[in-house]
Amino acid sequence: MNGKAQALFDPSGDWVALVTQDWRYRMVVPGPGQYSGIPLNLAAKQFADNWKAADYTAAGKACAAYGAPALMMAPTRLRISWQDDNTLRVETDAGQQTRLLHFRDPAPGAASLQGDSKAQWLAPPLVMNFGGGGGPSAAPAPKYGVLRVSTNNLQAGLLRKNGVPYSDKTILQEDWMLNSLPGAGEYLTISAIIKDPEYLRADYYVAPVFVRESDASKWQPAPCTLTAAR
Amino acid sequence: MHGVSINTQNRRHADSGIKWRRGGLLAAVVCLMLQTSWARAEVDLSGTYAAVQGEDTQIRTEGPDFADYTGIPLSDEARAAALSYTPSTISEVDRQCVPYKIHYLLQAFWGFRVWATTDPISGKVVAWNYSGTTDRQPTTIWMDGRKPPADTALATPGGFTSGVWKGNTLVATTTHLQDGLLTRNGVPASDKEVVTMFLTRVDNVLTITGVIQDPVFLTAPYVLTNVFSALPNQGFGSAIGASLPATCMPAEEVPSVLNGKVPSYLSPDLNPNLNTVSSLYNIPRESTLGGEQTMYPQHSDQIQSKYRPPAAYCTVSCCGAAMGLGNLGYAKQVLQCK
Repeated sequence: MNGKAQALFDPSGDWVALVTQDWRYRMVVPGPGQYSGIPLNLAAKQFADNWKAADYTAAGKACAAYGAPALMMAPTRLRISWQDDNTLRVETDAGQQTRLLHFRDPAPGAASLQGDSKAQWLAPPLVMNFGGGGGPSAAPAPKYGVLRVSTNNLQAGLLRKNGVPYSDKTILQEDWMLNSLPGAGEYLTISAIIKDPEYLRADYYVAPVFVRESDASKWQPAPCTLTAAR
Repeated sequence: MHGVSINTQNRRHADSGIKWRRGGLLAAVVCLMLQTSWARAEVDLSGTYAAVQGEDTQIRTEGPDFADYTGIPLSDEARAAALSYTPSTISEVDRQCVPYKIHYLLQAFWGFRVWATTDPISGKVVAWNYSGTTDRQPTTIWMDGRKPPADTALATPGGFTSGVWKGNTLVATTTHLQDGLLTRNGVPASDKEVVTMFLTRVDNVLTITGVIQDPVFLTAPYVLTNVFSALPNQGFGSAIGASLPATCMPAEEVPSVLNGKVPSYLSPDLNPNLNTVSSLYNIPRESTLGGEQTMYPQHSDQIQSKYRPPAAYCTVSCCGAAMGLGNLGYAKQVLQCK
Protein backbone atom coordinates (compact mmCIF):
# COMPACT_ATOMS: atom_id res chain seq x y z
CA MET A 1 0.00 0.00 0.00
CA ASN A 2 1.09 3.55 -0.58
CA GLY A 3 1.35 6.37 1.95
CA LYS A 4 -1.99 7.86 1.03
CA ALA A 5 -3.83 4.57 1.33
CA GLN A 6 -2.21 3.88 4.69
CA ALA A 7 -2.97 7.35 6.05
CA LEU A 8 -4.04 7.40 9.69
CA PHE A 9 -5.43 10.91 9.28
CA ASP A 10 -5.80 13.37 6.48
CA PRO A 11 -3.61 16.45 6.95
CA SER A 12 -4.47 17.91 3.57
CA GLY A 13 -6.09 21.32 3.59
CA ASP A 14 -5.42 24.82 4.86
CA TRP A 15 -3.86 25.52 8.24
CA VAL A 16 -2.78 28.60 10.16
CA ALA A 17 -0.14 28.82 12.87
CA LEU A 18 -1.34 29.72 16.35
CA VAL A 19 1.52 31.78 17.70
CA THR A 20 0.86 31.43 21.40
CA GLN A 21 4.39 30.46 22.44
CA ASP A 22 7.77 32.06 21.76
CA TRP A 23 5.80 35.04 20.47
CA ARG A 24 8.70 37.47 20.88
CA TYR A 25 10.98 35.34 18.69
CA ARG A 26 8.43 34.37 16.05
CA MET A 27 6.12 37.33 15.43
CA VAL A 28 8.87 39.93 15.32
CA VAL A 29 12.55 39.76 14.47
CA PRO A 30 14.26 39.32 17.85
CA GLY A 31 17.02 41.67 18.86
CA PRO A 32 20.69 40.78 19.19
CA GLY A 33 21.44 38.27 21.91
CA GLN A 34 17.85 37.06 22.36
CA TYR A 35 18.66 33.35 22.30
CA SER A 36 16.40 32.15 25.10
CA GLY A 37 15.12 28.61 24.71
CA ILE A 38 17.76 27.35 22.30
CA PRO A 39 20.44 25.10 23.81
CA LEU A 40 23.10 26.72 21.69
CA ASN A 41 26.79 26.15 22.33
CA LEU A 42 29.54 28.74 22.47
CA ALA A 43 30.31 28.41 18.74
CA ALA A 44 26.68 29.15 17.91
CA LYS A 45 26.59 32.11 20.25
CA GLN A 46 29.73 33.56 18.71
CA PHE A 47 28.31 33.01 15.23
CA ALA A 48 25.06 34.76 16.17
CA ASP A 49 26.77 37.61 18.01
CA ASN A 50 28.74 38.44 14.86
CA TRP A 51 25.98 37.79 12.36
CA LYS A 52 24.58 40.62 10.22
CA ALA A 53 21.27 40.41 8.41
CA ALA A 54 22.47 42.82 5.75
CA ASP A 55 25.41 40.57 4.87
CA TYR A 56 23.14 37.55 4.46
CA THR A 57 20.63 39.48 2.39
CA ALA A 58 23.37 40.86 0.16
CA ALA A 59 24.72 37.35 -0.32
CA GLY A 60 21.31 36.15 -1.48
CA LYS A 61 20.74 34.08 1.65
CA ALA A 62 17.52 35.68 2.86
CA CYS A 63 15.83 32.26 2.83
CA ALA A 64 18.30 30.84 5.36
CA ALA A 65 15.73 31.34 8.14
CA TYR A 66 13.12 29.33 6.23
CA GLY A 67 14.81 25.93 6.18
CA ALA A 68 12.98 22.88 7.52
CA PRO A 69 14.30 23.14 11.12
CA ALA A 70 12.87 26.67 11.45
CA LEU A 71 10.06 26.80 8.92
CA MET A 72 7.24 25.35 11.01
CA MET A 73 7.94 27.93 13.74
CA ALA A 74 7.38 30.80 11.31
CA PRO A 75 4.16 32.81 11.51
CA THR A 76 2.76 31.15 8.45
CA ARG A 77 -0.14 29.39 6.86
CA LEU A 78 0.24 25.89 5.50
CA ARG A 79 -1.32 24.40 2.40
CA ILE A 80 -1.01 20.62 2.53
CA SER A 81 -1.91 18.36 -0.36
CA TRP A 82 -1.06 14.95 -1.80
CA GLN A 83 1.33 15.53 -4.68
CA ASP A 84 1.00 11.86 -5.49
CA ASP A 85 0.11 8.72 -3.55
CA ASN A 86 3.48 8.68 -1.83
CA THR A 87 4.28 12.36 -1.39
CA LEU A 88 2.74 14.97 0.87
CA ARG A 89 3.34 18.52 -0.29
CA VAL A 90 3.53 21.19 2.42
CA GLU A 91 3.61 24.80 1.25
CA THR A 92 4.03 27.92 3.38
CA ASP A 93 2.95 31.42 2.51
CA ALA A 94 5.74 32.86 4.68
CA GLY A 95 8.86 32.60 2.58
CA GLN A 96 6.94 30.67 -0.12
CA GLN A 97 8.64 27.39 0.70
CA THR A 98 7.68 23.83 -0.23
CA ARG A 99 8.48 20.73 1.75
CA LEU A 100 7.96 17.30 0.23
CA LEU A 101 7.34 14.44 2.66
CA HIS A 102 8.17 11.17 0.91
CA PHE A 103 6.69 7.82 1.89
CA ARG A 104 9.26 6.19 -0.37
CA ASP A 105 12.97 6.86 -0.14
CA PRO A 106 13.57 10.25 -1.76
CA ALA A 107 15.98 10.33 -4.66
CA PRO A 108 19.46 11.30 -3.46
CA GLY A 109 20.49 14.80 -4.36
CA ALA A 110 22.41 17.82 -3.20
CA ALA A 111 21.79 19.30 0.23
CA SER A 112 18.96 21.80 0.21
CA LEU A 113 17.02 24.23 2.37
CA GLN A 114 14.24 21.76 3.01
CA GLY A 115 16.44 18.66 2.89
CA ASP A 116 15.18 15.14 2.26
CA SER A 117 12.14 14.16 4.30
CA LYS A 118 11.11 10.55 4.79
CA ALA A 119 7.59 10.04 6.13
CA GLN A 120 5.94 7.07 7.77
CA TRP A 121 2.72 6.45 9.65
CA LEU A 122 3.01 5.20 13.22
CA ALA A 123 -0.12 3.33 14.27
CA PRO A 124 -0.79 2.09 17.78
CA PRO A 125 0.63 -1.44 18.06
CA LEU A 126 -1.58 -4.49 17.74
CA VAL A 127 -1.98 -6.58 20.86
CA MET A 128 -3.65 -9.94 21.41
CA ASN A 129 -6.63 -10.09 23.75
CA PHE A 130 -8.20 -13.31 24.97
CA GLY A 131 -11.90 -13.39 24.32
CA GLY A 132 -13.80 -12.72 21.14
CA GLY A 133 -12.47 -14.12 17.90
CA GLY A 134 -10.58 -13.47 14.72
CA GLY A 135 -6.93 -12.87 13.92
CA PRO A 136 -4.84 -9.80 13.24
CA SER A 137 -6.66 -9.22 9.99
CA ALA A 138 -9.88 -8.81 11.96
CA ALA A 139 -8.47 -5.95 13.98
CA PRO A 140 -10.09 -2.63 13.18
CA ALA A 141 -8.11 -0.40 10.87
CA PRO A 142 -6.47 2.36 12.91
CA LYS A 143 -8.12 5.75 12.66
CA TYR A 144 -5.55 7.64 14.65
CA GLY A 145 -1.81 7.76 14.87
CA VAL A 146 1.24 9.84 14.23
CA LEU A 147 3.04 10.90 11.08
CA ARG A 148 6.79 10.59 11.69
CA VAL A 149 8.92 12.76 9.40
CA SER A 150 12.71 12.43 9.41
CA THR A 151 14.70 15.08 7.55
CA ASN A 152 18.40 15.22 6.69
CA ASN A 153 20.61 16.39 3.82
CA LEU A 154 20.02 19.99 4.89
CA GLN A 155 21.91 23.10 3.94
CA ALA A 156 23.08 25.17 6.88
CA GLY A 157 20.61 27.85 7.94
CA LEU A 158 19.21 29.94 10.79
CA LEU A 159 16.97 28.89 13.67
CA ARG A 160 16.17 32.51 14.45
CA LYS A 161 16.32 35.71 12.47
CA ASN A 162 18.88 37.17 14.84
CA GLY A 163 21.55 34.81 13.58
CA VAL A 164 21.25 31.62 15.66
CA PRO A 165 22.66 29.03 13.24
CA TYR A 166 22.14 25.37 12.48
CA SER A 167 24.69 23.39 10.53
CA ASP A 168 24.47 21.09 7.54
CA LYS A 169 24.84 18.18 9.97
CA THR A 170 21.43 18.91 11.44
CA ILE A 171 18.84 16.17 11.63
CA LEU A 172 15.18 17.01 12.17
CA GLN A 173 12.67 14.53 13.52
CA GLU A 174 9.01 15.51 13.62
CA ASP A 175 5.88 13.77 14.85
CA TRP A 176 2.79 15.25 13.24
CA MET A 177 -0.37 14.76 15.29
CA LEU A 178 -3.94 15.65 14.43
CA ASN A 179 -6.28 16.35 17.35
CA SER A 180 -9.92 17.31 16.99
CA LEU A 181 -12.14 18.95 19.51
CA PRO A 182 -15.79 19.28 18.50
CA GLY A 183 -16.78 22.92 18.39
CA ALA A 184 -13.24 24.11 19.03
CA GLY A 185 -11.36 23.09 15.91
CA GLU A 186 -8.92 20.65 14.44
CA TYR A 187 -5.32 21.08 15.56
CA LEU A 188 -2.11 19.94 13.94
CA THR A 189 0.75 19.70 16.42
CA ILE A 190 4.24 19.17 15.05
CA SER A 191 6.44 17.90 17.86
CA ALA A 192 9.99 18.36 16.61
CA ILE A 193 13.45 17.44 17.82
CA ILE A 194 16.35 19.29 16.24
CA LYS A 195 19.76 17.64 16.60
CA ASP A 196 22.85 19.53 15.56
CA PRO A 197 26.24 18.25 16.72
CA GLU A 198 27.94 21.43 15.54
CA TYR A 199 25.86 24.18 17.15
CA LEU A 200 23.60 22.61 19.79
CA ARG A 201 24.78 21.10 23.06
CA ALA A 202 21.47 19.30 23.62
CA ASP A 203 18.47 18.33 21.53
CA TYR A 204 16.19 21.30 20.84
CA TYR A 205 12.48 20.51 21.24
CA VAL A 206 9.69 22.65 19.81
CA ALA A 207 6.02 21.90 19.18
CA PRO A 208 4.23 24.49 17.04
CA VAL A 209 0.46 24.18 16.57
CA PHE A 210 -1.74 24.91 13.58
CA VAL A 211 -5.53 25.11 13.39
CA ARG A 212 -7.45 24.07 10.30
CA GLU A 213 -9.06 26.81 8.21
CA SER A 214 -12.07 26.29 6.01
CA ASP A 215 -10.47 27.77 2.90
CA ALA A 216 -7.37 29.49 1.55
CA SER A 217 -8.82 33.02 1.53
CA LYS A 218 -6.22 34.29 4.00
CA TRP A 219 -3.28 32.80 2.14
CA GLN A 220 -0.81 35.65 1.70
CA PRO A 221 2.48 34.71 0.02
CA ALA A 222 5.47 36.71 1.21
CA PRO A 223 9.05 36.37 -0.03
CA CYS A 224 11.92 35.41 2.23
CA THR A 225 13.13 38.23 4.40
CA LEU A 226 15.46 38.63 7.34
CA THR A 227 14.12 42.02 8.37
CA ALA A 228 10.50 41.08 9.05
CA ALA A 229 8.87 38.15 10.82
CA ARG A 230 7.28 36.67 7.69
CA MET B 1 17.67 -55.62 34.49
CA HIS B 2 15.09 -55.07 37.11
CA GLY B 3 16.16 -51.57 37.35
CA VAL B 4 15.93 -51.19 33.59
CA SER B 5 12.40 -52.55 33.63
CA ILE B 6 11.36 -50.05 36.22
CA ASN B 7 13.04 -47.32 34.26
CA THR B 8 11.25 -48.45 31.10
CA GLN B 9 7.94 -48.47 32.86
CA ASN B 10 8.65 -45.07 34.28
CA ARG B 11 9.60 -43.82 30.84
CA ARG B 12 6.36 -45.13 29.42
CA HIS B 13 4.44 -43.37 32.15
CA ALA B 14 6.48 -40.26 31.56
CA ASP B 15 5.97 -40.45 27.79
CA SER B 16 2.26 -40.86 28.19
CA GLY B 17 2.19 -37.94 30.62
CA ILE B 18 4.11 -35.76 28.16
CA LYS B 19 1.78 -36.77 25.34
CA TRP B 20 -1.23 -36.04 27.52
CA ARG B 21 0.22 -32.71 28.51
CA ARG B 22 1.11 -31.92 24.88
CA GLY B 23 -2.41 -32.80 23.84
CA GLY B 24 -3.86 -30.67 26.59
CA LEU B 25 -1.57 -27.79 25.74
CA LEU B 26 -2.47 -28.05 22.07
CA ALA B 27 -6.16 -28.05 22.92
CA ALA B 28 -5.69 -25.06 25.17
CA VAL B 29 -3.78 -23.16 22.46
CA VAL B 30 -6.46 -23.94 19.88
CA CYS B 31 -9.11 -22.90 22.33
CA LEU B 32 -7.31 -19.65 23.09
CA MET B 33 -6.78 -18.96 19.40
CA LEU B 34 -10.48 -19.33 18.86
CA GLN B 35 -11.09 -16.99 21.76
CA THR B 36 -8.45 -14.46 20.80
CA SER B 37 -9.13 -11.05 19.37
CA TRP B 38 -6.72 -8.37 18.27
CA ALA B 39 -6.95 -4.76 19.18
CA ARG B 40 -4.95 -1.56 18.97
CA ALA B 41 -2.96 -1.13 22.14
CA GLU B 42 -3.27 1.78 24.45
CA VAL B 43 0.01 3.33 25.40
CA ASP B 44 1.55 2.76 28.81
CA LEU B 45 2.16 6.30 30.02
CA SER B 46 3.77 5.23 33.28
CA GLY B 47 7.07 6.81 34.12
CA THR B 48 9.03 9.84 35.17
CA TYR B 49 9.14 12.72 32.72
CA ALA B 50 11.35 15.77 32.37
CA ALA B 51 10.17 18.94 30.65
CA VAL B 52 12.36 19.54 27.61
CA GLN B 53 10.51 21.97 25.36
CA GLY B 54 12.56 24.97 24.28
CA GLU B 55 9.66 27.39 23.77
CA ASP B 56 8.58 30.07 26.27
CA THR B 57 11.60 29.38 28.44
CA GLN B 58 11.35 32.70 30.25
CA ILE B 59 7.63 32.20 30.93
CA ARG B 60 8.28 28.69 32.23
CA THR B 61 11.11 29.78 34.51
CA GLU B 62 11.21 33.36 35.75
CA GLY B 63 7.65 33.93 34.58
CA PRO B 64 6.13 36.25 31.97
CA ASP B 65 6.92 39.94 31.89
CA PHE B 66 4.44 42.28 33.52
CA ALA B 67 1.52 43.15 31.24
CA ASP B 68 2.71 40.87 28.45
CA TYR B 69 -0.37 39.22 26.96
CA THR B 70 0.98 38.65 23.47
CA GLY B 71 -0.61 35.66 21.77
CA ILE B 72 -3.34 35.25 24.38
CA PRO B 73 -6.92 35.45 23.04
CA LEU B 74 -8.15 37.26 26.11
CA SER B 75 -11.36 39.29 26.24
CA ASP B 76 -11.58 42.99 27.12
CA GLU B 77 -12.82 42.04 30.58
CA ALA B 78 -9.88 39.72 31.08
CA ARG B 79 -7.46 42.42 29.97
CA ALA B 80 -8.95 44.92 32.42
CA ALA B 81 -8.69 42.39 35.23
CA ALA B 82 -5.13 41.49 34.23
CA LEU B 83 -4.05 45.13 34.23
CA SER B 84 -5.43 45.57 37.73
CA TYR B 85 -3.23 42.70 38.90
CA THR B 86 -0.12 43.26 40.93
CA PRO B 87 2.33 40.56 42.02
CA SER B 88 1.55 41.60 45.59
CA THR B 89 -1.76 39.82 45.08
CA ILE B 90 -0.19 36.47 45.81
CA SER B 91 0.98 37.79 49.15
CA GLU B 92 -2.65 37.41 50.20
CA VAL B 93 -2.95 34.02 51.82
CA ASP B 94 -6.25 33.21 50.13
CA ARG B 95 -4.83 33.99 46.67
CA GLN B 96 -1.41 32.44 46.91
CA CYS B 97 -2.32 29.31 45.00
CA VAL B 98 -4.47 30.82 42.27
CA PRO B 99 -1.80 30.91 39.52
CA TYR B 100 -1.38 27.16 39.55
CA LYS B 101 -4.41 25.57 37.95
CA ILE B 102 -4.18 22.41 35.88
CA HIS B 103 -2.94 24.23 32.78
CA TYR B 104 0.19 25.19 34.69
CA LEU B 105 1.41 21.80 33.46
CA LEU B 106 1.72 23.43 30.04
CA GLN B 107 3.37 26.61 31.29
CA ALA B 108 6.14 25.39 33.57
CA PHE B 109 9.38 23.52 33.34
CA TRP B 110 8.51 21.01 36.07
CA GLY B 111 8.71 17.33 35.37
CA PHE B 112 6.19 14.88 36.73
CA ARG B 113 5.40 11.23 37.26
CA VAL B 114 2.59 9.18 35.71
CA TRP B 115 1.14 5.98 37.10
CA ALA B 116 -1.92 3.84 36.55
CA THR B 117 -4.60 2.82 39.00
CA THR B 118 -5.85 -0.63 38.03
CA ASP B 119 -8.89 -2.65 38.96
CA PRO B 120 -7.68 -5.43 41.31
CA ILE B 121 -9.98 -8.01 39.72
CA SER B 122 -9.90 -7.25 35.99
CA GLY B 123 -6.52 -5.53 35.82
CA LYS B 124 -7.99 -2.82 33.64
CA VAL B 125 -6.82 0.76 34.03
CA VAL B 126 -9.35 2.67 36.06
CA ALA B 127 -7.41 5.92 36.07
CA TRP B 128 -4.18 7.53 34.98
CA ASN B 129 -2.59 9.81 37.52
CA TYR B 130 0.07 12.44 37.23
CA SER B 131 1.85 14.08 40.09
CA GLY B 132 1.47 17.66 41.11
CA THR B 133 4.51 19.80 41.46
CA THR B 134 5.14 22.25 44.27
CA ASP B 135 2.07 24.35 43.48
CA ARG B 136 -0.03 22.46 40.96
CA GLN B 137 -2.44 19.84 42.26
CA PRO B 138 -2.00 16.20 41.25
CA THR B 139 -4.47 15.04 38.62
CA THR B 140 -6.47 11.84 38.30
CA ILE B 141 -7.76 11.09 34.82
CA TRP B 142 -10.70 8.75 35.27
CA MET B 143 -10.85 6.12 32.53
CA ASP B 144 -13.80 4.09 33.82
CA GLY B 145 -16.51 6.11 32.14
CA ARG B 146 -17.82 7.71 35.28
CA LYS B 147 -19.90 10.81 34.79
CA PRO B 148 -18.66 14.22 35.91
CA PRO B 149 -20.19 15.77 39.01
CA ALA B 150 -23.25 17.97 38.64
CA ASP B 151 -22.72 21.47 37.35
CA THR B 152 -23.46 22.75 40.83
CA ALA B 153 -20.76 20.57 42.41
CA LEU B 154 -17.85 22.20 44.18
CA ALA B 155 -15.20 23.60 41.84
CA THR B 156 -11.69 22.79 43.05
CA PRO B 157 -8.14 23.75 42.04
CA GLY B 158 -7.67 20.28 40.50
CA GLY B 159 -11.14 19.98 38.97
CA PHE B 160 -12.59 16.75 37.62
CA THR B 161 -10.87 14.98 34.74
CA SER B 162 -12.02 12.09 32.58
CA GLY B 163 -10.18 10.51 29.68
CA VAL B 164 -10.64 8.43 26.56
CA TRP B 165 -8.11 6.94 24.17
CA LYS B 166 -8.12 7.95 20.52
CA GLY B 167 -5.50 5.71 19.00
CA ASN B 168 -2.26 6.38 20.82
CA THR B 169 -3.48 9.71 22.20
CA LEU B 170 -5.12 10.04 25.59
CA VAL B 171 -7.70 12.83 25.52
CA ALA B 172 -8.22 14.21 29.03
CA THR B 173 -10.96 16.74 29.72
CA THR B 174 -11.06 18.78 32.93
CA THR B 175 -14.08 20.65 34.24
CA HIS B 176 -15.18 21.93 37.66
CA LEU B 177 -12.11 24.09 38.04
CA GLN B 178 -12.00 26.83 40.62
CA ASP B 179 -11.48 30.30 39.23
CA GLY B 180 -7.92 31.55 39.34
CA LEU B 181 -5.27 32.75 36.95
CA LEU B 182 -4.49 31.67 33.41
CA THR B 183 -1.00 33.15 33.52
CA ARG B 184 1.34 34.17 36.27
CA ASN B 185 1.06 37.83 35.29
CA GLY B 186 -2.58 38.12 36.15
CA VAL B 187 -4.74 37.04 33.19
CA PRO B 188 -7.79 35.58 34.94
CA ALA B 189 -9.42 32.19 34.41
CA SER B 190 -13.02 31.58 35.36
CA ASP B 191 -14.72 28.57 36.90
CA LYS B 192 -16.32 27.95 33.50
CA GLU B 193 -12.97 26.99 32.08
CA VAL B 194 -12.65 23.63 30.32
CA VAL B 195 -9.18 22.24 29.65
CA THR B 196 -8.66 19.47 27.12
CA MET B 197 -5.25 17.87 26.94
CA PHE B 198 -4.12 15.51 24.20
CA LEU B 199 -1.31 13.33 25.54
CA THR B 200 0.65 11.46 22.87
CA ARG B 201 3.67 9.39 23.75
CA VAL B 202 5.90 8.16 20.92
CA ASP B 203 9.01 6.30 21.99
CA ASN B 204 10.27 8.28 24.99
CA VAL B 205 8.76 11.62 24.03
CA LEU B 206 5.42 12.74 25.47
CA THR B 207 3.80 15.66 23.68
CA ILE B 208 0.86 17.40 25.30
CA THR B 209 -1.37 19.71 23.29
CA GLY B 210 -3.65 21.64 25.61
CA VAL B 211 -6.77 23.48 24.48
CA ILE B 212 -8.08 25.94 27.06
CA GLN B 213 -11.61 27.22 26.61
CA ASP B 214 -13.08 29.88 28.85
CA PRO B 215 -16.33 31.55 27.74
CA VAL B 216 -15.85 34.30 30.33
CA PHE B 217 -12.28 35.44 29.73
CA LEU B 218 -11.21 34.04 26.33
CA THR B 219 -12.64 34.84 22.91
CA ALA B 220 -11.06 31.77 21.26
CA PRO B 221 -9.43 28.54 22.43
CA TYR B 222 -5.97 29.16 23.85
CA VAL B 223 -3.73 26.35 22.63
CA LEU B 224 -0.41 25.50 24.25
CA THR B 225 1.98 22.60 23.97
CA ASN B 226 4.57 21.09 26.22
CA VAL B 227 7.03 18.30 25.52
CA PHE B 228 8.45 15.87 28.04
CA SER B 229 11.09 13.19 27.84
CA ALA B 230 10.62 9.91 29.69
CA LEU B 231 13.56 8.87 31.80
CA PRO B 232 13.20 5.09 32.09
CA ASN B 233 16.63 4.43 33.52
CA GLN B 234 16.89 7.28 35.99
CA GLY B 235 15.38 7.98 39.38
CA PHE B 236 12.64 10.38 40.42
CA GLY B 237 15.15 13.12 41.15
CA SER B 238 16.45 13.13 37.58
CA ALA B 239 13.48 15.17 36.37
CA ILE B 240 13.23 18.54 38.04
CA GLY B 241 9.98 18.71 39.94
CA ALA B 242 8.97 15.09 39.59
CA SER B 243 9.67 14.35 43.22
CA LEU B 244 8.70 17.63 44.83
CA PRO B 245 5.79 18.03 47.25
CA ALA B 246 2.58 18.39 45.35
CA THR B 247 0.48 20.85 47.21
CA CYS B 248 0.41 24.61 47.29
CA MET B 249 0.47 25.51 50.99
CA PRO B 250 -0.64 29.09 51.65
CA ALA B 251 1.29 30.87 54.34
CA GLU B 252 1.66 34.41 55.64
CA GLU B 253 5.00 35.22 54.03
CA VAL B 254 5.35 39.00 54.08
CA PRO B 255 2.57 40.42 56.27
CA SER B 256 4.04 43.89 56.41
CA VAL B 257 3.61 44.44 52.67
CA LEU B 258 -0.16 44.39 52.63
CA ASN B 259 -1.02 45.82 56.04
CA GLY B 260 -4.66 44.91 55.56
CA LYS B 261 -4.96 46.33 52.04
CA VAL B 262 -6.18 44.46 48.98
CA PRO B 263 -3.44 44.90 46.39
CA SER B 264 -4.57 45.96 42.93
CA TYR B 265 -4.40 48.82 40.46
CA LEU B 266 -7.87 50.34 40.50
CA SER B 267 -7.51 51.58 36.93
CA PRO B 268 -5.48 49.89 34.17
CA ASP B 269 -3.91 53.26 33.37
CA LEU B 270 -2.46 53.35 36.86
CA ASN B 271 -0.54 50.15 36.21
CA PRO B 272 3.13 51.19 36.16
CA ASN B 273 4.00 48.11 34.09
CA LEU B 274 1.76 48.98 31.18
CA ASN B 275 4.73 49.76 28.94
CA THR B 276 7.31 47.34 30.34
CA VAL B 277 7.37 45.02 27.33
CA SER B 278 7.29 47.89 24.87
CA SER B 279 10.25 49.56 26.51
CA LEU B 280 12.24 46.34 26.85
CA TYR B 281 11.67 44.89 23.39
CA ASN B 282 10.13 47.70 21.27
CA ILE B 283 6.95 45.66 20.82
CA PRO B 284 3.92 47.91 20.17
CA ARG B 285 1.37 48.13 22.93
CA GLU B 286 -1.37 46.87 20.62
CA SER B 287 0.52 43.57 20.65
CA THR B 288 1.55 43.44 24.28
CA LEU B 289 -2.04 43.83 25.42
CA GLY B 290 -2.92 40.67 23.54
CA GLY B 291 -6.20 39.56 22.09
CA GLU B 292 -7.18 36.88 19.63
CA GLN B 293 -5.72 38.78 16.67
CA THR B 294 -2.21 38.68 18.12
CA MET B 295 -1.87 34.91 17.73
CA TYR B 296 -2.36 34.86 13.96
CA PRO B 297 0.44 35.43 11.41
CA GLN B 298 -1.12 38.47 9.77
CA HIS B 299 -0.65 40.40 13.02
CA SER B 300 3.09 40.42 12.39
CA ASP B 301 2.42 42.20 9.08
CA GLN B 302 0.14 44.69 10.81
CA ILE B 303 2.77 45.79 13.32
CA GLN B 304 5.73 45.59 10.98
CA SER B 305 5.91 49.35 10.37
CA LYS B 306 5.80 50.04 14.12
CA TYR B 307 8.49 47.61 15.19
CA ARG B 308 12.24 47.75 15.06
CA PRO B 309 14.43 45.17 16.83
CA PRO B 310 16.15 46.60 19.90
CA ALA B 311 19.56 47.92 18.91
CA ALA B 312 21.13 47.09 22.24
CA TYR B 313 22.35 43.60 23.03
CA CYS B 314 19.97 41.55 25.11
CA THR B 315 20.18 42.05 28.89
CA VAL B 316 17.02 40.35 30.17
CA SER B 317 16.23 36.62 29.88
CA CYS B 318 18.70 36.21 27.04
CA CYS B 319 19.67 32.59 27.48
CA GLY B 320 18.45 29.60 29.37
CA ALA B 321 17.18 26.54 27.58
CA ALA B 322 14.94 23.65 28.48
CA MET B 323 16.01 22.89 32.01
CA GLY B 324 13.85 19.96 32.94
CA LEU B 325 16.65 17.44 33.01
CA GLY B 326 18.32 17.36 36.35
CA ASN B 327 21.69 16.63 34.83
CA LEU B 328 21.60 19.88 32.88
CA GLY B 329 21.61 22.51 35.56
CA TYR B 330 19.91 25.81 34.88
CA ALA B 331 22.83 27.85 36.16
CA LYS B 332 25.22 25.88 34.01
CA GLN B 333 23.16 26.54 30.91
CA VAL B 334 22.82 30.24 31.62
CA LEU B 335 26.52 30.54 32.27
CA GLN B 336 27.35 28.80 29.02
CA CYS B 337 25.47 31.45 27.14
CA LYS B 338 27.48 34.24 28.64
